[in-house]
Amino acid sequence: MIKEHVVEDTELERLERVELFLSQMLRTGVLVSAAVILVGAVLLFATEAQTLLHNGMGSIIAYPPDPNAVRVVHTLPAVWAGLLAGDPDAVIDVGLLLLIATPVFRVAVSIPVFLLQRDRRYTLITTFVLVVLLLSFVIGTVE
Amino acid sequence: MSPIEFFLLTLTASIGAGLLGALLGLGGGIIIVPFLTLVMGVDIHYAIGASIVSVIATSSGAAAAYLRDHLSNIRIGMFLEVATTTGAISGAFLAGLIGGPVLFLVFSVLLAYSAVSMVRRREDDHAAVPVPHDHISDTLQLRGEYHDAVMQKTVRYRATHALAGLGLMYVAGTASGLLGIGSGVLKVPAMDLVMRLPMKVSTATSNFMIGVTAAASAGVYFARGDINPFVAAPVALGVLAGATLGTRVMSRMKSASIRKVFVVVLLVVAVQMLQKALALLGM
Repeated sequence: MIKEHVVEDTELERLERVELFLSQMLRTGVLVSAAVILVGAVLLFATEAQTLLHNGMGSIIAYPPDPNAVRVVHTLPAVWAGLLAGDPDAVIDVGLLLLIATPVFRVAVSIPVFLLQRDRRYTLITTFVLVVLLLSFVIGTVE
Repeated sequence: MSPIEFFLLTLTASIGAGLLGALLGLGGGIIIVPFLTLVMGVDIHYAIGASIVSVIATSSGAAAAYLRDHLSNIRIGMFLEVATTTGAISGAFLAGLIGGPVLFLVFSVLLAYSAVSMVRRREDDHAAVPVPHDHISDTLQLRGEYHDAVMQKTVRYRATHALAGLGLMYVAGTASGLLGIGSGVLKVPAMDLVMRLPMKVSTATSNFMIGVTAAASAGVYFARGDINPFVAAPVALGVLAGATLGTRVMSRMKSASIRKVFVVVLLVVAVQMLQKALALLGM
């Protein structure tokens, strides 16, 4: 009985270490995405300050977006195309998307962790959450 | 206002929002959405899109700290995320269908509710009281233990009313997706009062869940084109910097007095959001 308890505890500790490692990776992910956003913002002001000033705040934050003032893109291919064209807005978008991806990544990694524990219920629950997260990117476009 | 002024002003305000949010246990969203809409004149859809991204930044950034003190319960969090993510998608979808006035109105109600719940906030734990058995909670192992540094003992707890908790989490997720906030103010009572989890566990698990919930609605906002990089960049950077700073100074500050001031601020902002809703409706 006592022995069994000890085994359980070490397994729990191992699991905690995995969780902690993942969370620290998340923090790194957040810092990387913040750095990318910062680079994008600096690039934006360095290269397009005149255009921004010319367009004025009104058209930059116009809703729905004014296509001549700001590139509010909403598909991954559009972000990629903007990046290839050296568009600072696209660099910011990459940083924002990295940020949005961190919790998705966190959930995805939990699936093998539950699988290794042979916890079928939680493998299923976690897979469901991941599917919902991935579907969210599709749902907005279908609308 | 020139674009550079807009950027710097939003950045500064977002640092303040992140700092205050960390000190008060609120997300930055509840401060940043009113600031962007009322002060900077940004459309509420962009404000919400920018806010939801900053919510992810704070939650993911702080996840390690919450896990290290063994307070957040991964199983309970993951189980409830089934409802919060589904709710978040519903909320984000709904925000695209309903207009600005209704969004301002709902936001105003939530601000007022947050103010009230801050006044009534309890710190005591009721884990010692036995909770009624609940089949789902038992099957899904919704239980755990943590070491309480103040009481100097290990507190064991288990959840009850899992289905009711799940239902409330759907509502919390909808609010999060609709308003671009973390909605910890709804998540914590669902765990604390309904599922009868200790307050500390409820708070830590709620913080753990917020990022995942926000990611679900952020996907919808991005796909719809509501995430304007020019608005979202200073907000994400500012809130992240402010929250990081806030967690550092948290232990050195007494939060009770800030909280009293903040209750008043929340109520004032609630009234202003209400006025904005009425103005948009032409009333």
